[in-house]
Amino acid sequence: MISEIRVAMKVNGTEYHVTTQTSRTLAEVLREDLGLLGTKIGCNKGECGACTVIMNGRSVTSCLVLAVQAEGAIITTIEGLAEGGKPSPLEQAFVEEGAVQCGFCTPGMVMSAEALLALNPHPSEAEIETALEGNLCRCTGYRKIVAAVQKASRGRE
Amino acid sequence: MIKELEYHAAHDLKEALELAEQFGPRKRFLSGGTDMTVRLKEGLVKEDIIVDLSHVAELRFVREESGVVHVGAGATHADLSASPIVRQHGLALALAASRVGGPQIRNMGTIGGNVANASPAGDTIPALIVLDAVVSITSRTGTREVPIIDFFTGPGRSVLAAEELVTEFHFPATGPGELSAFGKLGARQAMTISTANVAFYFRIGGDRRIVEARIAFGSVAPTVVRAHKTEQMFCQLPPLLSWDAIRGAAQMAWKEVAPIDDLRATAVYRKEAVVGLLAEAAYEALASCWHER
Ligand SMILES: Cc1cc2nc3c(=O)[nH]c(=O)nc-3n(C[C@H](O)[C@H](O)[C@H](O)COP(=O)(O)OP(=O)(O)OC[C@H]3O[C@@H](n4cnc5c(N)ncnc54)[C@H](O)[C@@H]3O)c2cc1C
Ligand code: FES
Ligand code: FES
Repeated sequence: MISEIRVAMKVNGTEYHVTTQTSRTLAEVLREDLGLLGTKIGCNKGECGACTVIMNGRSVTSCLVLAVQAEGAIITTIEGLAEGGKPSPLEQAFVEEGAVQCGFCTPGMVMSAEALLALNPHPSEAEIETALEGNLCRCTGYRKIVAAVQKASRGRE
Repeated sequence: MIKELEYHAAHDLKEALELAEQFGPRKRFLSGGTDMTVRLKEGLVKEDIIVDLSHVAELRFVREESGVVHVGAGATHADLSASPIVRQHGLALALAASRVGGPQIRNMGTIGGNVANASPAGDTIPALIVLDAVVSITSRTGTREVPIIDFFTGPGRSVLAAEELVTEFHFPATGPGELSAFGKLGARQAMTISTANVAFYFRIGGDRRIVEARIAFGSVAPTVVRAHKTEQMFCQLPPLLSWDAIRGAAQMAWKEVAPIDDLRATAVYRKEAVVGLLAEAAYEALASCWHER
């Protein structure tokens, strides 16, 4: 029975080889094996978006991806956005706009917004709302999150 | 907790078909995994072997060839909603795909998984039905073509045999004078399985009458259903844009659907909902179609 598998993936620019059981999700491997605790696990069934990462250029909920499926994937987590120890402009905008309260949803929100801005640097308000539809926030009421994405968008080429 | 599984990734279609034959009913396919991973966590998967199709590039395409649109089983909902081909030649499908889950689910979830699930709530199913789509089902010994309406045999059940996989869907490209659309009602805007959904296709004659109509409803019966009597009502509409007439025609749906009460909604609510959904979406589509001409 092949229930342990070696998986190669590139996470935040670093090549990793992990041996994992086939029963584990990408979210678990990122947190437990790679120590990337920025990726949160909330509902663990695809509904809240807290575990959102960018995989091969697209936002995905890492609690729904089996780790073995990430073979050969290029993944960016919240830890991969900072440059030279400084928060990315998008992260900075979240701070400046007060888009963070308890912070549990924030890494997932930021990753969904990052995936949007990478494909569409100047989205409309409606496009931002659609891009964040898969991310729940119990604290902020979303307005400040949308404002933060708009602010980051203004700073992009 | 997910149980330990034997995992095999298929790298191309040939390998997928070989693995399907080798493991037969002991295996389960995994495409986007948006449904399977949830089921695995809930302990609802009895098979112990997973054959992963998510790396099979040959299954992920959208193309149009001599008036027929071909959609690979591995095309994601995001692929379909962004595809100019699907938008232009099968709008109902693009609209349905754009309403599945949230962005992350659309980035992972595939049309093949949505159909193979055979859920009465699967959003792409009514769209495929009204577009008259055919499912290509392939095994090592060949491919058979099954009209989508004949694919489902009950909730969660289909004609798919253990050694077969869904490889593509194809349907006649819609052109001038043809329109199709999709509407959905859910408890929340996004991220929710439908409490009711509807898709329709109309062919409009030179005198602005609807000469051909196909209408399908989801979440209102054990499988997605076609509403033949309601279709006839739409074909009898006067050639003028009247909300009352359209709403009147849609009312026939009340007789054609057999929803149940469940956690998500009551049967009466669902019946009212499908009538309203159909009337609104049809009015809007007819209005914009007439406006263009
Ligand atoms: C949070 C959330 C929201 C959702 N919202 C919606 C929604 O709004 N509307 C909706 O319709 N669905 C929704 N879903 C359900 C699901 O995402 C979709 O049905 C999706 O299209 C499934 O595709 P997949 O590729 O992820 O399938 P998988 O999970 O990979 O597979 C599903 C089933 O199909 C089989 N299968 C997959 N590919 C093939 C193939 N090529 N040949 C034969 N069998 C195959 C698998 O063996 C499995 O039984 C939602 C799910 C979640 C978790
Ligand atoms: S933890 Fe993955 S979506 Fe909620
Ligand atoms: S800040 Fe608390 S959930 Fe969003």
